[in-house]
Amino acid sequence: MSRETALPLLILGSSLLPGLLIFFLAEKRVVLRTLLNMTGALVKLVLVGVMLAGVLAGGQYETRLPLLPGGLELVLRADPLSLLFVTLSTGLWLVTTLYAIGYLENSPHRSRFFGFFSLCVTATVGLAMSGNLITFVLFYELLTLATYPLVVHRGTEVARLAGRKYLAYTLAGGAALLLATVWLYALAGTLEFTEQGFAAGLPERHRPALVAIFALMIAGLGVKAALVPFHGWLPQAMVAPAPVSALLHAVAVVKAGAFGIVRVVYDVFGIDFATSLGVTLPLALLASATILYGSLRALFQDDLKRRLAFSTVSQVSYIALGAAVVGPAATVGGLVHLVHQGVQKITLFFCAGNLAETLGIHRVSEMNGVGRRMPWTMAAFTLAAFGMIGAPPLAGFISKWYLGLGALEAEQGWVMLVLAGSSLLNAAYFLPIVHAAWFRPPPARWPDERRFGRLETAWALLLPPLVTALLTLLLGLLAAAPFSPLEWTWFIVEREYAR
Amino acid sequence: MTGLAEMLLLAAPGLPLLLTLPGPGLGLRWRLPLALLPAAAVLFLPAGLQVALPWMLLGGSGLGLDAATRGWLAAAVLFWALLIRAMKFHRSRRATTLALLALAGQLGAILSVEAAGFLCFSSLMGYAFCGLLAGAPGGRRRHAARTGLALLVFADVLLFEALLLSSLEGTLATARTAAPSNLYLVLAVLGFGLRAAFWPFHRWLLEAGGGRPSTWPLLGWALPVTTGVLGLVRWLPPTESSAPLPALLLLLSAAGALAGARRSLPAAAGLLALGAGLGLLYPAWWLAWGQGFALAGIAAGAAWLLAGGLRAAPAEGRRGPSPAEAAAARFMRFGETTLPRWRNRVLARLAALVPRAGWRRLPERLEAPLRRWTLSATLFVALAVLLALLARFSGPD
Repeated sequence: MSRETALPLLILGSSLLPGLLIFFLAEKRVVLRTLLNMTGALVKLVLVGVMLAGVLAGGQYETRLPLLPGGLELVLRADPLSLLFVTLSTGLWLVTTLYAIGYLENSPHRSRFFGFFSLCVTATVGLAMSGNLITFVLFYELLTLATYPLVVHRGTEVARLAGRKYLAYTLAGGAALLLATVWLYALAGTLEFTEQGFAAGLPERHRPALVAIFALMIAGLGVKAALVPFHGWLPQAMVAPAPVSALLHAVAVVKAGAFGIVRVVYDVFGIDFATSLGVTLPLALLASATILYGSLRALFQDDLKRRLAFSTVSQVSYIALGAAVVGPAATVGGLVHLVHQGVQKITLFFCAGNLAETLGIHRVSEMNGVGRRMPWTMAAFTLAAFGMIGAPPLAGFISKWYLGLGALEAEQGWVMLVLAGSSLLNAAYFLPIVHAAWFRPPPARWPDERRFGRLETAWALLLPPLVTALLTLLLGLLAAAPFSPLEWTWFIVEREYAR
Repeated sequence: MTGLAEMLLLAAPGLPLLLTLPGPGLGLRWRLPLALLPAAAVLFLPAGLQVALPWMLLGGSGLGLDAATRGWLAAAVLFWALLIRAMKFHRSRRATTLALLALAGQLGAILSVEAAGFLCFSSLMGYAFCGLLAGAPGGRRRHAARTGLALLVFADVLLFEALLLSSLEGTLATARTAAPSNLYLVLAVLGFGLRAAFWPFHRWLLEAGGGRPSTWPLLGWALPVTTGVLGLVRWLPPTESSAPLPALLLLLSAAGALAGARRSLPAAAGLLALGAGLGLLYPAWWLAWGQGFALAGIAAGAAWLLAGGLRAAPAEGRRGPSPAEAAAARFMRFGETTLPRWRNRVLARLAALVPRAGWRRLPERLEAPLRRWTLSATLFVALAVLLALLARFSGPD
């Protein structure tokens, strides 16, 4: 087995192996568990860096393993699009692991938690590196199975109900996706992702079937991507601990769905063929409706995590919108938002977790004056919130810029109205939080305050949001720098639109 | 010398930003005066100096100094010197931080050579100004802060759309386009008009100026009005063709301000709107004299304000919420109480249609053993092993 073949497997193994080992550790083996977690995360980061350097130098990394009769293989391939998602997942997994170690200190069932945590990232990275649709579906379902125990981790009745809802939604979505995959294989005879879409060469008589397949796929992927009306599981899943919410919203689950939509539009159908089928406009409309609906629902939530959950429902649809609006700039906007939304949203969830753990704050109405008690956490929250609104020079501004530019280039000016409306709604539900935190007087006592010496909270809880908030600023400020996510997405898009 | 000059240019907005970070050894009293020094030094640098920042924002940004910029910079330095002395921001860490951010924002906006950079810095200035208002004593100023913030967000959205149109039609360099659409012009005029608190969006600036201390009106004039007018001067007019529609908007605003309350802060801003509106009708005049007119107007307004000639507070007593605020409050009440009530009613009716049966407890009974993690992990590993075996034995012979 050559290095080019082994590296994708090694990247998977760097989280799979520690995860499996952690399952069998006793609860009191804190040091060993932390060591396994952090080593796995760091090793994965290094391996992804090696792969990135190799791809930039023109190398090709691919692993093929026989999977099913009929020539269907398990294919792991590192192309520029997969590397974008792999790098995001790997980087954010590292900070989330550190955060989770601090968050779950002295909590029960940590070995179980971190075991499934690692399996979740394994499934996400496998999904990102999928070279064909069957591999994608396999890891998509493994992701569902790996995340369910995290959602129900607390073991309460509310958590179990949320987990049941999560499982019902995601397994139904997976079933729809599998059905569409099998149907497409029957028509096309292959499931390999290609740059112009492998379904594009099918005869004209299959067009009705292809439209139905596209709809099924979007429905199946739309569950994890939280497209309306398949979003119902996401706000319920907020009962999970903050690291899980951060993982679900920023790193793994919703991104997997959105990433899948991008793959389907570009590498299964091809953007030109999808446009000729007439499916891109309905997708754009669905994404736009989700953007506005999610923002409206967020406006009326007092529970902080539910407000952030509905915000995620809205923001992830930017990625689907970028994929559906035909044109390089819109695609860039959608793809770069994959990264920017992940970094910003994870910051917000880290901060929400800090507020809950340190002061017992779970509701927006309890956040008066919290900026004085936890200034660094709220500074990170403020930066990320402004980023979500799209204020320059933060990361969200860059995404919205390219989405808007792409909409104008594609003569879909109505998308600008959606973006403008969404920005106004984002401001409406984030700015009151910022205002209350910094400018309202604090209460006489907090709901459930814990002290952490001279620091406002535990350092393992404070450092990750500060790092990701700084990234929010740098990703926007230095967007035109070499090797920035924006430059990388241009590299992806130029290959996609090359004829 | 060039290196030092470039460093001073970068330090003009950069040092205030740096000084917002906590650090030992430098008291709050000295941070703002220190932050102003690079900008004061830049005034003496030769015109034509420029620093390119190729990695920034949308394909590169930069800071530069020319003759017109020097005038705006001088006005800003003078204003801030007065404000630092009069307003005593150093009494509060929060006020110092927000003042530093506002200073960085205004200086960066003045020195920016392209539109995206201008938008970034001017937004920073705007949000910091609203923060200063929100932290000030007095319910009226805090109300002004909320109104100003809402208008600023709306203005930012409009200017963002205008910038997109400009990028599509021409260049981001100065947001001037070869063939501007009416839409672009109207968006730009509305955006900067909102920022500069032109009539009828002026009330919040009056509210900010009332009460004590009396230098709040100068802060309002120096920051949002000056930067908003600077934006109009920089972005408009785009060509030598007149633009009647956006000109009409500005002229209407001026007429409303002058008719509503003479010798007041909004009226002074209205005169500037009048000049800008005439400039859009006679762009050759504006291109030649617009900068000078705007600077002179800003300086005259500030002098008149300081001399006590301008009324800078609302004449009447505090009113109830405006129609927009009342509508927003009703909308929030609807979303927070009425909508969930309707939703719960619908869900209850749907639930009543589904009979409760023993089969509904089946998922729970099936779920119970899965919650034991060892079983779950074992099943997962077994699945992986099964897949590996399938892969091994389903390959070609």
